[in-house]
Amino acid sequence: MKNIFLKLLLFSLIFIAGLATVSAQESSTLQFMKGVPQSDLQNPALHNDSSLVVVGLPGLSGLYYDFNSGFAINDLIHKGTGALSDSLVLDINGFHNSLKTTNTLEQHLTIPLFYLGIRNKKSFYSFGVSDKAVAQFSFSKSFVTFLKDGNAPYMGENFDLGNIGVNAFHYREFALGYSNELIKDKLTVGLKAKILYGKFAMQTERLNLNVETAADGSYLNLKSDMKINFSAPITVEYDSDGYFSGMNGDNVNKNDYYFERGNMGIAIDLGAVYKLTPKITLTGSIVDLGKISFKNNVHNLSHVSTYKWDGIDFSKSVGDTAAADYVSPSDLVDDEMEKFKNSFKPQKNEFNSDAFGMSIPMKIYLGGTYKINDKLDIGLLDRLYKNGDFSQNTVALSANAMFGNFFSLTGSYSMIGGSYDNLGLGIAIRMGFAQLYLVNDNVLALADLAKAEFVNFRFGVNFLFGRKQKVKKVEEL
Amino acid sequence: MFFCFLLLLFFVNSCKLDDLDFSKLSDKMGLNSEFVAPVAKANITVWDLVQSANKKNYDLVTKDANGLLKIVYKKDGLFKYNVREFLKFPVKQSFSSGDKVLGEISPGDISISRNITLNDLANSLGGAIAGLVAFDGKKAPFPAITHNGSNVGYSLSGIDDFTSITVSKGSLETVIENKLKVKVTISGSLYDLQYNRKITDFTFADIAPNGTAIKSVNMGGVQLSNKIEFRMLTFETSGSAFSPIDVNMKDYFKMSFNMKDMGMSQGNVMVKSQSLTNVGGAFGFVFPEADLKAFNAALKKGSLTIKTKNTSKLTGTIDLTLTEIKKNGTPVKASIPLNGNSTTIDLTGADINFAADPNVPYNRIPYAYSVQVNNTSGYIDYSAADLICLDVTLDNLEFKSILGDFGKRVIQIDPGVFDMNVDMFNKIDGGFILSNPELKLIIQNSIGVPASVSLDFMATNKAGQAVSLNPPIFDIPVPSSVNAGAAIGNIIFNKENSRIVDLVALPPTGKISYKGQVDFNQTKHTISPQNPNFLDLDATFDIGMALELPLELQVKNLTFKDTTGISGNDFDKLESAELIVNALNGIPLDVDMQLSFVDTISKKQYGASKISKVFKAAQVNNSGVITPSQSVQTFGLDKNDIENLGKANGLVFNGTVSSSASGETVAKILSDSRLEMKVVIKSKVNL
Repeated sequence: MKNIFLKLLLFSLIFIAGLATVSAQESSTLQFMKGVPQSDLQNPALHNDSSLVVVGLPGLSGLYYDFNSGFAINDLIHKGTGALSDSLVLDINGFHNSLKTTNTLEQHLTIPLFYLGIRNKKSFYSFGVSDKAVAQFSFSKSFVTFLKDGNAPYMGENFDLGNIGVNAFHYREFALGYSNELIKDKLTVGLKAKILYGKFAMQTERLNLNVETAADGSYLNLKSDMKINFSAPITVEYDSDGYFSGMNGDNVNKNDYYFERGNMGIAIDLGAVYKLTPKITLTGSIVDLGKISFKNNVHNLSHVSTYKWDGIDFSKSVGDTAAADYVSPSDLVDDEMEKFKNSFKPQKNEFNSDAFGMSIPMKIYLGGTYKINDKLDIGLLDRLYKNGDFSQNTVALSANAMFGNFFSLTGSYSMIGGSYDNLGLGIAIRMGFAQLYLVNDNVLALADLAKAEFVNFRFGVNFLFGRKQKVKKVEEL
Repeated sequence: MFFCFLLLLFFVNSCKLDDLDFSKLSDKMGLNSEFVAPVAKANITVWDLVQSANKKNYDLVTKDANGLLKIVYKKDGLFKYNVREFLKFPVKQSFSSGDKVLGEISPGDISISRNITLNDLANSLGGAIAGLVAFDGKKAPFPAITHNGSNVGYSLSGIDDFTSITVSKGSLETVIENKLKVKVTISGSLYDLQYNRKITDFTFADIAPNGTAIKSVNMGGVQLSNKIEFRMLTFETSGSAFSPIDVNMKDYFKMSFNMKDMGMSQGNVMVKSQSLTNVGGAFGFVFPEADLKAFNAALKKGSLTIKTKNTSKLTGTIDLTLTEIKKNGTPVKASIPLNGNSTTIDLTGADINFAADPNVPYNRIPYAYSVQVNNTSGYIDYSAADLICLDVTLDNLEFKSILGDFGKRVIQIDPGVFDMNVDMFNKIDGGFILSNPELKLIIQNSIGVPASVSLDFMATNKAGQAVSLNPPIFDIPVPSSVNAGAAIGNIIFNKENSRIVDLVALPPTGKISYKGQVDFNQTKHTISPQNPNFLDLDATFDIGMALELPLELQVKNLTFKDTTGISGNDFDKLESAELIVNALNGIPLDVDMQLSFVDTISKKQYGASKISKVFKAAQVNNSGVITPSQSVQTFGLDKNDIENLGKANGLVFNGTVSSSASGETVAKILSDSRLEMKVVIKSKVNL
């Protein structure tokens, strides 16, 4: 059942990606791919396509998805050995060994809704609308250490399970771009101003867990310290004692959600392309420098809890059942469970409605190409990605070829974070004014998802108009 | 779109999704985490433990004033005796007074008199007295007169009380009153005209004027008719010696004849209402128990019926008093007509004193009766020899209580058997010695007879070993009086006077048998009305038993066992486990534990854990002061034990208990001894 679900999910993602045209973002293979206009997503000054008009339509603009973690599924679940060679086993020890001190899983999803780009002499104007979602989950290795070892080896210690971070947000981006060739055939600069409308956000400022085990095991002290902000059209509900009882989203109006404008933010892309020599071109850009301020439907939770468990005290459960202070063992257990739940259950007075800001993931690209010939060049790109405390550097080496005016092929090798086996592939085929493209930075991962630490792909359809003349002009550059 | 479709096909077919086929995911995670967590804690006393373990029978374990725990096994009604079987009582008794003579009756006091005037004297004597007639009313000297010769008769009024009687007793009082003005000397007699004989004579000499003289004679044996007269034999006076006196011919001297305190033995008499005879006697009460000497009895109910037989012509009643049968303190009385009709008296609630007769101070009912005769309308013939007889019947007798001398008696305590069935004994094995066990016989006795009991108990255990208690013969408590209710007393058999220690040490998990007898009045003290035996027929005689086992024990390797059902599957994720018990033990007992893993159906044992100490005994010094022991003990199950646990469906707790110093000291289990413990579990999972 699980297998069918996974396959279905994969097919769904691929199907949606097949309808996309514009709005690729983080793919390293994409930046120097010839004839694909999505390069301006990574550098507003970089236009690898010379079409006069570029159009991306709703439902056809494409999709970008990536998943990135410091470990692969394979590290946790893999084929067994011996009698279990035909089975998958959960390998906690192996998983633990593969972890770093802090481990992050991230996903990005971009669904472009509309794009229009117009070239006029030396300038390029663009306007795009996209829905973007970012989700990040981070945890400390010590958390898994605790699960793996238990608390027995740490008797007499205060074991810090580390911080758990869950950060996710969904926003709509309205991007207005402009680039201009300042120095003819030499320097082009570009800028994109973005207005962001946040729809949903969850931000973990801190979520720390501690377990103290007494040296003689006579008590456990559980401590948690959390501060979580979230913005969503839900109602926080409380029980009659003022404890958090749940969230109610029954009354969410989809239109209100889709057209939420109260959580505004801004971001900016800056880029430049400098042709050092006729064969060497340098590029540099900063993308998505900005943040969103969430003010609407905001809920903040600050909760510090401690719970000391020193066993159930049966002193009043042994003896005369008719005594006034007798408590039955089942009542004792119920009371303790209630105490435990209430220790960790937030109370009404721990909730606030203070606005909070979320920075959107920022990228810095530095790269360059070397032109082998008219049809082929090689590129080198360094990309620094930063999202909160998480940062990742990617270095990609690519070979970019254009065959005729209709077939673009790029192969790449990327070192993404600590992953060194990423072979990427980009293919773009133009049929008339429609261009289909597919880009992926880690083809091998698609072949064996279980071993992949990084997976991404981008699908799309571009509608390109007036390109023929512009191709010649680009070649002359 | 076609291109995408191709690409889709390519990826779907090339995608290696086997490693994502989660349907193949094994249950094994290769996780061997070890967790430690406190499970429970408690600060409890021994009394709390006892009450928790004895929910079905709170009375089984108690504590004394010093807090020492005691197991108390009670068996009420070990022996119950129906007291009504102790003595037999008659329901009906009949008595007769026998024929009794009526005896003399009294005609009453009789008094007749006559004034004899000077005129009477002048007429009867003549002479000088006659010469005074002329001086009647005048003054003249009274002449000296001497009459001596024939009797001169003066009639007296008739006696109405009888026509003729034989006097059995009484006296005749002759009285002269001299109303003459001269001194006189008179002699004469009282004469019975019917029997023509003198009844009595008398002489009164020198009776002065206005003087009185009396002479009495005994009339006993005199036959007397009602026709009598005064006959004067002599009359003498010296006159007034020539001194003139007022002469009145009506002057007189009076002769009175008074018969007093008369009794008659026979005659023809008009009977006056009177009480004739007072007769007393005693009926002899016969009890079925020949040696029973009753001093007193209280009746619940009964009746007294009396009937008379009378040979005389007298009418009236016999007033019978049974002086020693009393209702509300008042002797029972009955008036029984002399005409032969019977009278019945209800004796409900009456008391009977059988001991009033000093000669035979038991089984006697005294009686007394008097015959009350009525006036007769005419004369009847009466004889003192006439007879009356009383027949008395006591019927429907139901006794409430009795005092007396009941003689020597024996009640057999029939052999009996019971099973103590104390759950604790069934679960323990091995040696333990209680320092001060006691077997208490609780005796409720309303029988007021000194008695001694010989009663023995024989206990067995499941191995068939037997021990006899060998208690001494003991006297039972006796109530102080018949109204005092039951006397309750306890007879205690302890280590000083029996083999109770050995009996309890068996332990008595099998049957306990008993037999014996109760001997009454075996002692030599005197039974008397002042110190009687007594019995209330609603009384009780009941022997109950209480076996009191103060938990002051010396125990060495006393084992106990208990089995609980488990599901082995609950432990299949466990690799090892340790139970760490951190205890401050105020109970002077070491407890070791071993777990056995069994199949309760096939009885197969898969294995057993190591024997581990769970609690370390509190220390007891020579003065008996208890110092709690602090200890941390670990009870562990290793991998092998867990495997065996997984196969089993039953877990047997094998415990061994010893008092401190390896069972060499005596441990007092006090109710307020405290056990503070914290239990921590340390377990290694195998997921």
